[in-house]
Amino acid sequence: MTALEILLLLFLVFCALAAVLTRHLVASVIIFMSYSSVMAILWLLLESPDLAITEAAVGAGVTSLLFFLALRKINGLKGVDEDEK
Amino acid sequence: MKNDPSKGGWFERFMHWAEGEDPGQDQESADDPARAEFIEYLEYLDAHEHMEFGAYRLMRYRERTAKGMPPQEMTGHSGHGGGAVVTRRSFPVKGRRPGTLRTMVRLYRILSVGVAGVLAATLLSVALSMPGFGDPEAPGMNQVAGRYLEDGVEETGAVNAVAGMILDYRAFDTFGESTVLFAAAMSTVLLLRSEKRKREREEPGDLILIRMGQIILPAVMMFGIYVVVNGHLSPGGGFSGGTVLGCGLILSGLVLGREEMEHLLPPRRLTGLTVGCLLAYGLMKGYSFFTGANHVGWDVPRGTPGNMFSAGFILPLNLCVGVIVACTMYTFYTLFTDREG
Amino acid sequence: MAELVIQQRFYIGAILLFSIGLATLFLHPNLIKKIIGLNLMDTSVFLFLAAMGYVDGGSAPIIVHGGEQVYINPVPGGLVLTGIVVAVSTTALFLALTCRLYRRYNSLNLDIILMKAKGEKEKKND
Repeated sequence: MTALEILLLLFLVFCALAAVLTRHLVASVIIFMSYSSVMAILWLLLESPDLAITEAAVGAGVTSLLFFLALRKINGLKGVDEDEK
Repeated sequence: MKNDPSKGGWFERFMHWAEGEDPGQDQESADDPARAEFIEYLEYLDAHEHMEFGAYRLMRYRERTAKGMPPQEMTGHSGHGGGAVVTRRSFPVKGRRPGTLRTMVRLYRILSVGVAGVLAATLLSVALSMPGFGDPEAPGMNQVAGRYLEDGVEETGAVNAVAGMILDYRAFDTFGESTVLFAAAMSTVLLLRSEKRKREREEPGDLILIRMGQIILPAVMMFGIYVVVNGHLSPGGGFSGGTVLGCGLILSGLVLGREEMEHLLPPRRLTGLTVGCLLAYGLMKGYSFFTGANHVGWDVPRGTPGNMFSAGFILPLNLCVGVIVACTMYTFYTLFTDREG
Repeated sequence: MAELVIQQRFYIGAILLFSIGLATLFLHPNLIKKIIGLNLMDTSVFLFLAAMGYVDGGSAPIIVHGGEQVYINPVPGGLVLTGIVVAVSTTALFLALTCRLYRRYNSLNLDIILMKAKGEKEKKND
Protein backbone atom coordinates (compact mmCIF):
# COMPACT_ATOMS: atom_id res chain seq x y z
CA MET A 1 0.00 0.00 0.00
CA THR A 2 2.80 2.38 0.74
CA ALA A 3 4.25 1.91 -2.72
CA LEU A 4 0.86 2.60 -4.29
CA GLU A 5 0.47 5.77 -2.26
CA ILE A 6 3.92 7.00 -3.19
CA LEU A 7 3.22 6.27 -6.86
CA LEU A 8 -0.06 8.18 -6.74
CA LEU A 9 1.56 11.13 -4.97
CA LEU A 10 4.27 11.32 -7.60
CA PHE A 11 1.60 11.22 -10.28
CA LEU A 12 -0.20 14.08 -8.53
CA VAL A 13 2.91 16.26 -8.49
CA PHE A 14 3.55 15.42 -12.13
CA CYS A 15 -0.03 16.28 -13.10
CA ALA A 16 0.19 19.59 -11.26
CA LEU A 17 3.40 20.54 -13.05
CA ALA A 18 1.92 19.55 -16.40
CA ALA A 19 -1.28 21.52 -15.84
CA VAL A 20 0.75 24.59 -15.00
CA LEU A 21 3.31 24.43 -17.78
CA THR A 22 0.93 23.71 -20.65
CA ARG A 23 0.16 26.57 -22.97
CA HIS A 24 -3.07 25.29 -24.37
CA LEU A 25 -5.83 26.30 -21.97
CA VAL A 26 -8.20 23.40 -22.71
CA ALA A 27 -5.41 20.86 -22.20
CA SER A 28 -4.59 22.49 -18.89
CA VAL A 29 -8.17 22.04 -17.66
CA ILE A 30 -8.27 18.39 -18.78
CA ILE A 31 -5.08 17.64 -16.89
CA PHE A 32 -6.63 19.32 -13.87
CA MET A 33 -9.57 16.92 -14.19
CA SER A 34 -7.27 13.92 -13.98
CA TYR A 35 -5.53 15.50 -10.99
CA SER A 36 -8.88 15.64 -9.19
CA SER A 37 -9.66 12.02 -10.00
CA VAL A 38 -6.34 10.79 -8.62
CA MET A 39 -6.96 12.89 -5.53
CA ALA A 40 -10.28 11.07 -5.06
CA ILE A 41 -8.45 7.72 -5.09
CA LEU A 42 -6.04 9.06 -2.47
CA TRP A 43 -8.93 10.00 -0.20
CA LEU A 44 -10.13 6.41 -0.45
CA LEU A 45 -6.72 5.11 0.55
CA LEU A 46 -6.88 7.41 3.57
CA GLU A 47 -10.11 5.69 4.67
CA SER A 48 -12.41 8.69 4.13
CA PRO A 49 -15.20 7.64 1.76
CA ASP A 50 -17.20 10.86 2.26
CA LEU A 51 -14.35 12.92 0.91
CA ALA A 52 -13.85 10.54 -2.00
CA ILE A 53 -17.45 10.85 -3.19
CA THR A 54 -17.42 14.62 -2.82
CA GLU A 55 -14.07 15.13 -4.56
CA ALA A 56 -14.99 12.83 -7.45
CA ALA A 57 -18.27 14.66 -8.04
CA VAL A 58 -16.81 18.11 -7.53
CA GLY A 59 -13.37 17.99 -9.08
CA ALA A 60 -13.95 16.04 -12.24
CA GLY A 61 -17.53 17.22 -12.48
CA VAL A 62 -18.57 20.68 -11.51
CA THR A 63 -15.24 22.55 -11.42
CA SER A 64 -14.04 21.33 -14.80
CA LEU A 65 -17.47 21.93 -16.30
CA LEU A 66 -17.41 25.52 -15.05
CA PHE A 67 -13.94 26.00 -16.52
CA PHE A 68 -15.09 24.80 -19.92
CA LEU A 69 -18.20 26.96 -19.83
CA ALA A 70 -16.18 30.01 -18.87
CA LEU A 71 -13.69 29.34 -21.66
CA ARG A 72 -16.53 29.06 -24.14
CA LYS A 73 -17.97 32.35 -22.93
CA ILE A 74 -14.71 34.18 -23.59
CA ASN A 75 -14.11 32.42 -26.90
CA GLY A 76 -10.95 30.81 -25.66
CA LEU A 77 -11.74 27.27 -26.67
CA LYS A 78 -9.89 27.34 -29.95
CA GLY A 79 -7.03 29.74 -29.42
CA VAL A 80 -3.69 28.82 -28.04
CA ASP A 81 -2.70 31.17 -25.30
CA GLU A 82 1.00 31.80 -25.18
CA ASP A 83 2.38 32.83 -21.87
CA GLU A 84 5.78 33.74 -20.73
CA LYS A 85 6.67 30.55 -18.97
CA MET B 1 -4.78 67.44 -22.85
CA LYS B 2 -7.12 64.57 -23.07
CA ASN B 3 -7.14 64.41 -26.83
CA ASP B 4 -3.55 65.29 -27.54
CA PRO B 5 -1.37 62.24 -27.13
CA SER B 6 1.84 63.73 -28.34
CA LYS B 7 2.10 65.77 -25.17
CA GLY B 8 1.53 62.84 -22.81
CA GLY B 9 3.91 60.08 -21.88
CA TRP B 10 4.27 56.63 -23.36
CA PHE B 11 1.17 55.49 -21.62
CA GLU B 12 -1.03 57.84 -23.54
CA ARG B 13 0.59 56.52 -26.66
CA PHE B 14 -0.39 53.02 -25.73
CA MET B 15 -3.96 54.00 -25.04
CA HIS B 16 -4.01 55.92 -28.28
CA TRP B 17 -2.99 52.84 -30.17
CA ALA B 18 -5.38 50.64 -28.25
CA GLU B 19 -8.31 52.86 -29.17
CA GLY B 20 -7.05 52.94 -32.72
CA GLU B 21 -7.60 56.56 -33.49
CA ASP B 22 -4.62 57.78 -35.40
CA PRO B 23 -1.99 55.23 -36.28
CA GLY B 24 0.28 57.46 -38.23
CA GLN B 25 1.08 59.95 -35.53
CA ASP B 26 4.31 58.48 -34.28
CA GLN B 27 6.35 59.29 -37.35
CA GLU B 28 7.08 62.81 -36.18
CA SER B 29 8.69 62.31 -32.82
CA ALA B 30 11.06 59.45 -33.45
CA ASP B 31 13.51 60.20 -30.67
CA ASP B 32 11.14 61.12 -27.89
CA PRO B 33 12.32 59.35 -24.68
CA ALA B 34 8.80 58.35 -23.78
CA ARG B 35 8.45 56.70 -27.13
CA ALA B 36 11.77 54.93 -26.63
CA GLU B 37 10.55 53.32 -23.47
CA PHE B 38 7.31 52.39 -25.14
CA ILE B 39 9.19 50.72 -27.93
CA GLU B 40 11.21 48.87 -25.34
CA TYR B 41 8.01 47.60 -23.77
CA LEU B 42 6.79 46.36 -27.10
CA GLU B 43 10.12 44.66 -27.67
CA TYR B 44 9.80 42.96 -24.35
CA LEU B 45 6.33 41.73 -25.22
CA ASP B 46 7.56 40.49 -28.57
CA ALA B 47 10.58 38.75 -27.17
CA HIS B 48 8.46 36.71 -24.81
CA GLU B 49 5.80 35.89 -27.38
CA HIS B 50 3.17 37.65 -25.42
CA MET B 51 -0.21 37.29 -26.90
CA GLU B 52 -3.79 37.77 -25.93
CA PHE B 53 -7.04 37.94 -27.73
CA GLY B 54 -8.08 41.13 -29.35
CA ALA B 55 -6.71 44.49 -28.44
CA TYR B 56 -3.01 43.75 -28.56
CA ARG B 57 -3.23 42.16 -31.95
CA LEU B 58 -5.21 45.12 -33.22
CA MET B 59 -2.62 47.52 -31.91
CA ARG B 60 0.24 45.62 -33.51
CA TYR B 61 -1.60 45.47 -36.80
CA ARG B 62 -2.17 49.21 -36.86
CA GLU B 63 1.37 49.96 -35.85
CA ARG B 64 2.80 47.72 -38.45
CA THR B 65 0.65 49.11 -41.25
CA ALA B 66 1.65 52.60 -40.17
CA LYS B 67 5.23 51.64 -40.71
CA GLY B 68 4.44 50.09 -44.04
CA MET B 69 5.39 46.58 -43.04
CA PRO B 70 3.36 43.53 -44.06
CA PRO B 71 0.50 43.16 -41.62
CA GLN B 72 0.91 39.59 -40.46
CA GLU B 73 3.83 37.52 -39.34
CA MET B 74 3.15 33.85 -38.91
CA THR B 75 5.64 31.47 -37.41
CA GLY B 76 5.36 27.79 -36.69
CA HIS B 77 3.14 28.24 -33.66
CA SER B 78 0.04 29.00 -35.60
CA GLY B 79 -2.15 26.60 -33.71
CA HIS B 80 -5.75 26.78 -34.79
CA GLY B 81 -5.39 29.85 -36.89
CA GLY B 82 -5.62 32.15 -33.97
CA GLY B 83 -2.08 32.22 -32.74
CA ALA B 84 0.04 34.61 -34.70
CA VAL B 85 3.32 34.85 -32.88
CA VAL B 86 5.39 37.93 -33.23
CA THR B 87 9.09 37.24 -32.97
CA ARG B 88 11.90 39.56 -32.27
CA ARG B 89 13.03 39.81 -35.84
CA SER B 90 9.85 41.43 -37.07
CA PHE B 91 10.34 44.57 -35.06
CA PRO B 92 13.05 47.14 -35.77
CA VAL B 93 15.42 46.73 -32.88
CA LYS B 94 17.13 49.93 -31.92
CA GLY B 95 20.10 48.45 -30.12
CA ARG B 96 20.04 46.29 -27.02
CA ARG B 97 19.58 48.75 -24.23
CA PRO B 98 19.00 47.09 -20.88
CA GLY B 99 16.08 49.16 -19.75
CA THR B 100 14.63 49.25 -16.30
CA LEU B 101 11.38 47.57 -17.30
CA ARG B 102 13.02 44.36 -18.36
CA THR B 103 15.18 44.06 -15.28
CA MET B 104 12.23 44.75 -13.03
CA VAL B 105 10.24 41.97 -14.62
CA ARG B 106 13.17 39.58 -14.39
CA LEU B 107 13.69 40.52 -10.74
CA TYR B 108 10.01 39.91 -10.03
CA ARG B 109 10.19 36.46 -11.50
CA ILE B 110 13.32 35.48 -9.64
CA LEU B 111 11.91 36.79 -6.39
CA SER B 112 8.62 34.96 -6.78
CA VAL B 113 10.31 31.63 -7.46
CA GLY B 114 12.62 32.38 -4.55
CA VAL B 115 9.76 33.07 -2.17
CA ALA B 116 7.95 29.88 -3.16
CA GLY B 117 11.18 27.91 -2.79
CA VAL B 118 11.99 29.35 0.64
CA LEU B 119 8.46 28.63 1.84
CA ALA B 120 8.63 25.07 0.55
CA ALA B 121 12.03 24.48 2.18
CA THR B 122 10.85 25.82 5.54
CA LEU B 123 7.70 23.74 5.51
CA LEU B 124 9.54 20.62 4.42
CA SER B 125 12.03 20.92 7.22
CA VAL B 126 9.14 21.26 9.67
CA ALA B 127 7.24 18.35 8.13
CA LEU B 128 10.11 15.98 8.79
CA SER B 129 9.91 16.68 12.51
CA MET B 130 6.14 16.54 12.83
CA PRO B 131 4.48 13.70 14.74
CA GLY B 132 4.49 10.65 12.56
CA PHE B 133 1.87 9.93 9.99
CA GLY B 134 -0.61 7.37 11.25
CA ASP B 135 0.63 7.42 14.81
CA PRO B 136 -2.12 6.41 17.22
CA GLU B 137 -0.55 8.55 19.94
CA ALA B 138 -0.62 11.67 17.80
CA PRO B 139 -1.71 14.89 19.53
CA GLY B 140 -4.60 15.20 17.09
CA MET B 141 -6.20 12.09 18.56
CA ASN B 142 -7.19 13.67 21.84
CA GLN B 143 -10.20 13.39 24.07
CA VAL B 144 -12.45 15.28 21.66
CA ALA B 145 -12.10 12.64 18.97
CA GLY B 146 -12.45 9.92 21.59
CA ARG B 147 -15.69 11.41 22.86
CA TYR B 148 -17.07 11.70 19.32
CA LEU B 149 -16.24 8.12 18.51
CA GLU B 150 -17.32 6.50 21.76
CA ASP B 151 -20.41 8.46 22.76
CA GLY B 152 -21.42 9.57 19.31
CA VAL B 153 -23.94 6.83 18.70
CA GLU B 154 -25.81 7.33 21.95
CA GLU B 155 -25.80 11.10 21.94
CA THR B 156 -26.56 11.75 18.31
CA GLY B 157 -27.99 8.49 17.11
CA ALA B 158 -25.95 8.58 13.91
CA VAL B 159 -23.88 5.59 12.92
CA ASN B 160 -21.69 7.70 10.61
CA ALA B 161 -19.41 9.56 13.01
CA VAL B 162 -18.48 12.30 10.55
CA ALA B 163 -22.13 13.10 9.77
CA GLY B 164 -22.96 13.04 13.45
CA MET B 165 -20.16 15.46 14.10
CA ILE B 166 -20.90 18.01 11.41
CA LEU B 167 -24.67 17.97 11.81
CA ASP B 168 -25.10 17.59 15.53
CA TYR B 169 -22.08 18.51 17.58
CA ARG B 170 -20.85 21.20 15.20
CA ALA B 171 -23.97 22.07 13.28
CA PHE B 172 -23.38 25.79 13.59
CA ASP B 173 -20.22 25.57 11.51
CA THR B 174 -22.16 23.77 8.79
CA PHE B 175 -24.70 26.57 8.87
CA GLY B 176 -21.88 29.03 8.24
CA GLU B 177 -20.59 26.99 5.31
CA SER B 178 -24.06 26.84 3.74
CA THR B 179 -24.27 30.60 4.09
CA VAL B 180 -20.93 30.94 2.29
CA LEU B 181 -22.30 28.79 -0.55
CA PHE B 182 -25.38 30.97 -0.76
CA ALA B 183 -23.31 34.18 -0.73
CA ALA B 184 -21.09 32.94 -3.54
CA ALA B 185 -24.11 31.94 -5.63
CA MET B 186 -25.75 35.33 -5.15
CA SER B 187 -22.55 37.18 -6.01
CA THR B 188 -22.27 35.19 -9.23
CA VAL B 189 -25.88 36.01 -10.04
CA LEU B 190 -25.11 39.70 -9.56
CA LEU B 191 -22.07 39.49 -11.81
CA LEU B 192 -23.45 37.46 -14.67
CA ARG B 193 -27.10 38.30 -14.74
CA SER B 194 -28.28 39.20 -18.23
CA GLU B 195 -31.05 41.73 -18.14
CA LYS B 196 -31.71 42.08 -21.80
CA ARG B 197 -33.16 38.56 -22.17
CA LYS B 198 -31.42 38.31 -25.48
CA ARG B 199 -30.16 34.83 -24.91
CA GLU B 200 -29.38 32.42 -27.64
CA ARG B 201 -31.99 29.70 -27.64
CA GLU B 202 -30.14 26.52 -26.81
CA GLU B 203 -31.51 23.53 -28.54
CA PRO B 204 -31.65 20.18 -26.76
CA GLY B 205 -28.70 17.90 -27.33
CA ASP B 206 -28.28 15.58 -30.23
CA LEU B 207 -29.48 12.01 -30.53
CA ILE B 208 -26.70 10.13 -28.76
CA LEU B 209 -26.80 12.51 -25.82
CA ILE B 210 -30.57 12.21 -25.48
CA ARG B 211 -30.61 8.42 -25.63
CA MET B 212 -27.76 7.95 -23.19
CA GLY B 213 -29.21 10.62 -20.96
CA GLN B 214 -32.50 8.79 -20.75
CA ILE B 215 -30.64 5.73 -19.51
CA ILE B 216 -28.15 7.36 -17.18
CA LEU B 217 -30.14 10.23 -15.74
CA PRO B 218 -32.57 8.22 -13.55
CA ALA B 219 -29.65 6.27 -12.11
CA VAL B 220 -27.73 9.42 -11.26
CA MET B 221 -30.71 11.07 -9.55
CA MET B 222 -31.52 7.91 -7.60
CA PHE B 223 -27.94 7.61 -6.45
CA GLY B 224 -27.91 11.24 -5.40
CA ILE B 225 -31.10 10.89 -3.37
CA TYR B 226 -29.80 7.67 -1.82
CA VAL B 227 -26.56 9.31 -0.73
CA VAL B 228 -28.39 12.27 0.79
CA VAL B 229 -30.99 10.27 2.67
CA ASN B 230 -28.54 7.70 4.01
CA GLY B 231 -26.14 10.29 5.31
CA HIS B 232 -26.29 9.17 8.91
CA LEU B 233 -25.99 5.45 8.18
CA SER B 234 -23.31 5.14 5.54
CA PRO B 235 -20.71 7.41 3.96
CA GLY B 236 -22.25 10.39 2.29
CA GLY B 237 -24.46 13.08 3.60
CA GLY B 238 -25.73 16.41 2.47
CA PHE B 239 -22.63 17.75 0.73
CA SER B 240 -21.71 14.62 -1.19
CA GLY B 241 -25.24 13.80 -2.24
CA GLY B 242 -25.93 17.43 -3.04
CA THR B 243 -23.08 17.61 -5.53
CA VAL B 244 -24.19 14.37 -7.19
CA LEU B 245 -27.74 15.75 -7.44
CA GLY B 246 -26.36 18.99 -8.86
CA CYS B 247 -24.46 17.06 -11.52
CA GLY B 248 -27.67 15.20 -12.34
CA LEU B 249 -29.53 18.48 -12.75
CA ILE B 250 -26.81 19.82 -15.04
CA LEU B 251 -27.00 16.65 -17.14
CA SER B 252 -30.75 17.01 -17.44
CA GLY B 253 -30.24 20.63 -18.46
CA LEU B 254 -27.98 19.43 -21.27
CA VAL B 255 -30.33 16.67 -22.36
CA LEU B 256 -33.67 18.44 -22.20
CA GLY B 257 -32.58 21.82 -23.47
CA ARG B 258 -32.99 25.23 -22.01
CA GLU B 259 -36.73 25.76 -22.55
CA GLU B 260 -37.88 22.66 -20.71
CA MET B 261 -35.64 23.31 -17.76
CA GLU B 262 -36.95 26.85 -17.57
CA HIS B 263 -40.44 25.43 -17.17
CA LEU B 264 -39.27 23.06 -14.50
CA LEU B 265 -36.89 25.27 -12.55
CA PRO B 266 -37.12 28.97 -13.31
CA PRO B 267 -34.50 31.12 -11.59
CA ARG B 268 -36.93 32.47 -9.02
CA ARG B 269 -37.85 29.00 -7.90
CA LEU B 270 -34.17 28.09 -7.53
CA THR B 271 -33.50 31.10 -5.36
CA GLY B 272 -36.65 30.44 -3.36
CA LEU B 273 -35.62 26.83 -2.72
CA THR B 274 -32.16 27.86 -1.58
CA VAL B 275 -33.39 30.57 0.74
CA GLY B 276 -36.17 28.40 2.14
CA CYS B 277 -33.85 25.52 2.94
CA LEU B 278 -31.31 27.83 4.54
CA LEU B 279 -33.97 29.34 6.78
CA ALA B 280 -35.34 25.90 7.65
CA TYR B 281 -31.82 24.77 8.61
CA GLY B 282 -31.38 27.81 10.82
CA LEU B 283 -34.70 27.31 12.58
CA MET B 284 -34.21 23.60 13.10
CA LYS B 285 -30.76 23.84 14.52
CA GLY B 286 -31.57 27.00 16.39
CA TYR B 287 -33.66 25.11 18.86
CA SER B 288 -30.50 24.62 20.87
CA PHE B 289 -30.13 28.36 21.05
CA PHE B 290 -33.76 28.91 21.88
CA THR B 291 -34.00 26.26 24.56
CA GLY B 292 -30.56 26.38 26.11
CA ALA B 293 -27.99 23.70 26.69
CA ASN B 294 -30.31 21.30 28.48
CA HIS B 295 -33.13 21.70 25.99
CA VAL B 296 -35.77 22.55 28.61
CA GLY B 297 -36.70 18.93 29.20
CA TRP B 298 -37.95 18.19 25.69
CA ASP B 299 -35.39 16.22 23.77
CA VAL B 300 -35.47 15.28 20.13
CA PRO B 301 -36.33 11.59 19.85
CA ARG B 302 -33.32 9.61 18.76
CA GLY B 303 -34.71 6.28 17.71
CA THR B 304 -32.65 3.16 17.38
CA PRO B 305 -29.38 3.64 15.55
CA GLY B 306 -29.38 1.84 12.27
CA ASN B 307 -32.89 2.74 11.22
CA MET B 308 -33.47 5.35 8.62
CA PHE B 309 -35.78 7.44 10.78
CA SER B 310 -33.43 7.92 13.66
CA ALA B 311 -30.80 10.36 14.81
CA GLY B 312 -33.08 13.20 15.67
CA PHE B 313 -32.78 16.13 13.34
CA ILE B 314 -29.95 14.81 11.20
CA LEU B 315 -32.15 13.48 8.39
CA PRO B 316 -34.03 16.77 7.77
CA LEU B 317 -30.79 18.73 8.04
CA ASN B 318 -29.16 16.46 5.48
CA LEU B 319 -32.08 17.04 3.12
CA CYS B 320 -31.82 20.81 3.54
CA VAL B 321 -28.08 20.86 2.90
CA GLY B 322 -28.46 18.56 -0.11
CA VAL B 323 -31.07 20.81 -1.71
CA ILE B 324 -28.96 23.92 -1.05
CA VAL B 325 -25.85 22.44 -2.64
CA ALA B 326 -27.72 21.02 -5.66
CA CYS B 327 -29.50 24.30 -6.37
CA THR B 328 -26.23 26.24 -6.04
CA MET B 329 -24.45 24.01 -8.56
CA TYR B 330 -27.34 24.29 -11.00
CA THR B 331 -27.45 28.07 -10.58
CA PHE B 332 -23.78 28.28 -11.52
CA TYR B 333 -24.47 26.23 -14.64
CA THR B 334 -27.40 28.38 -15.79
CA LEU B 335 -25.44 31.58 -15.32
CA PHE B 336 -22.51 30.43 -17.37
CA THR B 337 -24.53 29.26 -20.37
CA ASP B 338 -26.07 32.55 -21.28
CA ARG B 339 -23.88 33.16 -24.34
CA GLU B 340 -24.48 36.82 -24.18
CA GLY B 341 -21.04 38.24 -23.34
CA MET C 1 16.42 9.91 6.59
CA ALA C 2 14.96 8.08 3.62
CA GLU C 3 12.51 6.15 5.75
CA LEU C 4 11.49 9.36 7.47
CA VAL C 5 10.66 10.79 4.07
CA ILE C 6 8.71 7.66 3.20
CA GLN C 7 6.82 7.79 6.45
CA GLN C 8 5.83 11.45 6.07
CA ARG C 9 5.03 11.08 2.38
CA PHE C 10 1.63 12.77 2.48
CA TYR C 11 2.87 15.91 4.20
CA ILE C 12 5.75 16.28 1.79
CA GLY C 13 3.49 15.77 -1.21
CA ALA C 14 1.01 18.34 0.07
CA ILE C 15 3.76 20.92 0.65
CA LEU C 16 5.19 20.41 -2.83
CA LEU C 17 1.77 20.87 -4.40
CA PHE C 18 1.17 24.00 -2.35
CA SER C 19 4.42 25.59 -3.47
CA ILE C 20 3.70 24.69 -7.11
CA GLY C 21 0.32 26.40 -6.83
CA LEU C 22 1.83 29.46 -5.18
CA ALA C 23 4.51 29.83 -7.85
CA THR C 24 1.83 29.54 -10.53
CA LEU C 25 -0.14 32.29 -8.88
CA PHE C 26 2.88 34.59 -8.98
CA LEU C 27 4.35 33.84 -12.34
CA HIS C 28 1.64 33.45 -14.92
CA PRO C 29 -0.10 36.61 -16.08
CA ASN C 30 -2.97 34.63 -17.56
CA LEU C 31 -6.06 34.71 -15.35
CA ILE C 32 -7.15 31.12 -16.04
CA LYS C 33 -3.76 29.82 -14.95
CA LYS C 34 -4.02 31.84 -11.78
CA ILE C 35 -7.35 30.22 -11.00
CA ILE C 36 -5.87 26.78 -11.60
CA GLY C 37 -3.03 27.68 -9.23
CA LEU C 38 -5.51 28.69 -6.54
CA ASN C 39 -7.34 25.39 -6.93
CA LEU C 40 -4.05 23.52 -6.58
CA MET C 41 -3.37 25.34 -3.32
CA ASP C 42 -6.86 24.53 -2.05
CA THR C 43 -6.69 20.81 -2.70
CA SER C 44 -3.16 20.50 -1.33
CA VAL C 45 -4.28 21.97 2.00
CA PHE C 46 -7.20 19.53 2.09
CA LEU C 47 -4.79 16.65 1.53
CA PHE C 48 -2.60 17.87 4.37
CA LEU C 49 -5.51 18.19 6.77
CA ALA C 50 -7.09 14.85 6.01
CA ALA C 51 -3.75 13.05 6.23
CA MET C 52 -3.40 14.26 9.81
CA GLY C 53 -6.42 12.23 10.81
CA TYR C 54 -5.21 8.86 9.68
CA VAL C 55 -4.44 6.15 12.20
CA ASP C 56 -2.49 3.06 11.27
CA GLY C 57 -4.78 0.11 10.87
CA GLY C 58 -7.87 2.22 11.36
CA SER C 59 -11.02 1.94 9.35
CA ALA C 60 -13.62 4.43 8.18
CA PRO C 61 -15.58 6.02 11.04
CA ILE C 62 -18.82 4.09 10.55
CA ILE C 63 -19.38 2.72 14.01
CA VAL C 64 -20.66 -0.84 14.10
CA HIS C 65 -21.32 -2.45 17.41
CA GLY C 66 -19.38 -5.38 18.66
CA GLY C 67 -15.68 -5.91 18.48
CA GLU C 68 -12.76 -3.71 19.32
CA GLN C 69 -12.08 -1.60 16.30
CA VAL C 70 -9.70 1.24 15.74
CA TYR C 71 -11.26 4.16 13.91
CA ILE C 72 -9.57 7.08 12.27
CA ASN C 73 -9.93 10.56 13.66
CA PRO C 74 -13.21 11.98 12.30
CA VAL C 75 -12.54 15.63 13.10
CA PRO C 76 -10.27 16.64 10.16
CA GLY C 77 -12.46 14.75 7.71
CA GLY C 78 -15.45 16.80 8.74
CA LEU C 79 -13.54 20.04 8.23
CA VAL C 80 -12.40 19.07 4.76
CA LEU C 81 -15.85 17.89 3.65
CA THR C 82 -17.37 21.34 3.78
CA GLY C 83 -14.14 22.89 2.57
CA ILE C 84 -14.29 21.08 -0.76
CA VAL C 85 -17.73 22.43 -1.58
CA VAL C 86 -16.76 25.97 -0.55
CA ALA C 87 -13.73 25.73 -2.87
CA VAL C 88 -16.08 25.03 -5.79
CA SER C 89 -18.16 28.08 -5.11
CA THR C 90 -15.13 30.35 -4.83
CA THR C 91 -13.83 28.98 -8.13
CA ALA C 92 -17.18 29.77 -9.74
CA LEU C 93 -16.99 33.32 -8.39
CA PHE C 94 -13.49 33.81 -9.76
CA LEU C 95 -14.56 32.54 -13.17
CA ALA C 96 -17.51 34.94 -13.19
CA LEU C 97 -15.13 37.81 -12.42
CA THR C 98 -12.85 36.67 -15.24
CA CYS C 99 -15.75 36.69 -17.71
CA ARG C 100 -16.73 40.21 -16.70
CA LEU C 101 -13.14 41.41 -16.95
CA TYR C 102 -12.81 39.93 -20.41
CA ARG C 103 -16.03 41.53 -21.52
CA ARG C 104 -14.78 44.91 -20.39
CA TYR C 105 -11.09 44.91 -21.29
CA ASN C 106 -10.97 42.21 -23.96
CA SER C 107 -7.90 40.56 -22.54
CA LEU C 108 -6.98 37.68 -20.28
CA ASN C 109 -3.58 39.04 -19.40
CA LEU C 110 -3.38 40.72 -16.05
CA ASP C 111 -0.60 43.15 -17.03
CA ILE C 112 -2.56 44.51 -19.95
CA ILE C 113 -5.75 44.77 -17.91
CA LEU C 114 -3.96 46.74 -15.20
CA MET C 115 -2.40 49.06 -17.71
CA LYS C 116 -5.69 49.75 -19.40
CA ALA C 117 -7.40 50.36 -16.08
CA LYS C 118 -4.68 52.76 -15.02
CA GLY C 119 -4.99 54.56 -18.32
CA GLU C 120 -8.71 54.91 -17.92
CA LYS C 121 -8.27 56.29 -14.47
CA GLU C 122 -5.69 58.79 -15.67
CA LYS C 123 -7.94 59.82 -18.51
CA LYS C 124 -10.75 60.35 -16.07
CA ASN C 125 -8.61 62.45 -13.78
CA ASP C 126 -7.53 64.81 -16.53
